[in-house]
Amino acid sequence: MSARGATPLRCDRLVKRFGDVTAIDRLDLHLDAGEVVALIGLNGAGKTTFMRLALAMIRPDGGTASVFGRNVATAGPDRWRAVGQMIETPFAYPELTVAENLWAAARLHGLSRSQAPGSVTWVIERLGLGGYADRRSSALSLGNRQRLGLASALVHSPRLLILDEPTSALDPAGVVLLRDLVQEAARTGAAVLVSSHHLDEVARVADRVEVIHRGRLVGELPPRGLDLEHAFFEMVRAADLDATESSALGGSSEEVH
Amino acid sequence: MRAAFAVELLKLRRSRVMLATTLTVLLAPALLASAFASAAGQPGADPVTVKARAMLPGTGWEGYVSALAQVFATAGLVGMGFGVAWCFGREYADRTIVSLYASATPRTAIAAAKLVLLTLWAVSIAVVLGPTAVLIGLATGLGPPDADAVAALSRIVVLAMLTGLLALIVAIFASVGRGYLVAFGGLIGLVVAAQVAVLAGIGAWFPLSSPALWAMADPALGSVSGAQLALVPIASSAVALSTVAWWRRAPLD
Repeated sequence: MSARGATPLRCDRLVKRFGDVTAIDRLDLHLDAGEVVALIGLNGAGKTTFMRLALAMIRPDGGTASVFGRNVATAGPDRWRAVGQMIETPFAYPELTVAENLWAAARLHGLSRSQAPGSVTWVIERLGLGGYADRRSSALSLGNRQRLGLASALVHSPRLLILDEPTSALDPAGVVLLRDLVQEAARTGAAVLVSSHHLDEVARVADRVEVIHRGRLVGELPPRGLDLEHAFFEMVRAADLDATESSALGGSSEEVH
Repeated sequence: MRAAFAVELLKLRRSRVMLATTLTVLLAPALLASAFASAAGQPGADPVTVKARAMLPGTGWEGYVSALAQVFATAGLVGMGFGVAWCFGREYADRTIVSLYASATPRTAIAAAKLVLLTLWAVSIAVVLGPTAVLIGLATGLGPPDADAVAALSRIVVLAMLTGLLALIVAIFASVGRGYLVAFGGLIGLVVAAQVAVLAGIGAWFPLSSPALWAMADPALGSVSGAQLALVPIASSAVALSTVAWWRRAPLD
């Protein structure tokens, strides 16, 4: 199957265990082109672990993840060049300037020597990093380091973008900028998966909001709903109640711990 | 591979750690050897002078070059190993390793580029080490080196190249240990293993010690054959391939 036209991200019954703890429990998630999906959950719900599985950073104990139709375990450069990600730590080598970091990210993401400089100029301008282009990333504030990480994820115009807590260190202007960038990427056909604690922010940008709790997707919320926060906690509480009842009745063999 | 090579080269060029390591490896052993040679040539019986005389076969260029071979055998491995530990451990230590996953450039290419560049770095240090040692010798009043000294310095240049290859072994420690600490521990282990092999009388067959024994050319320590020296690139190549294989498969958990 060719990369173009294939589902950008498809995860089927993914399972990941760390010792006795089932961090991801039979999780299914599909992302279509042009779709923005928000993944929300409490701390430790499994958001980052799921994203790491989807990007082949860790190996699943069950199930499969594929990008553009190819299992991530065997996906090659042709698939990964269409993927941008920012998980945990931004792409920011402290000894390099902002422009050099972005050039490095562009080259590693598959842009040629001739393509990279133009893309770096574009993304520096788009992320508002012009005043910092020649500054070492070690001298940046936390927020600007996060902008640099986002710029590194976007510099090659990916068709699948996976962002873990991208607004955690951004100022309000940065949050608005990120929202514009995500919507712009989706308009041009990119699929975007974003995790966040900021439910109001998620509501503004997502087409679909998936709730993850104890490693399982426990439901979907309407992003334009009246009280997303209330609905989220209701869903989490109901999931806990189900788990308790299931446990009292003997539980399943793959029960979430 | 080209992208990985270009990016790794940029990181090395911009690194203050690698600059400081390069200068230390180039200058510290030669300056220390010069100090030893100078002490050995002093009259009197203070402890440093007595120890230096016992270590060195003579004074002047002969003593200086012999001291340099002895010092570089250990200090060179430690210094170059430090550089390798930094190069392979830094992504794990500062967590930029996460950015190297899900990328169009395979991690095997990144690891291979690091190994190639570190080999070139070691060769560059080796090539510059000879003239640097001569300049320090001239600056300390030893006068122009004679033919024997030039031959001995040539051996030290080869020793530095082989030491650079041996230092690549540290890459597997930094990779499997995911950072600097295990790498530094492994480096100390390599230095100790080399000393133990010499004391056990198998130094000529042990890749970690054979280059130093060959460079010192001390009949009391025995001779080292070309076949024995050839074990150095074989051993370091095997470890380098293992390191690349590790980078291909290693998950982040």
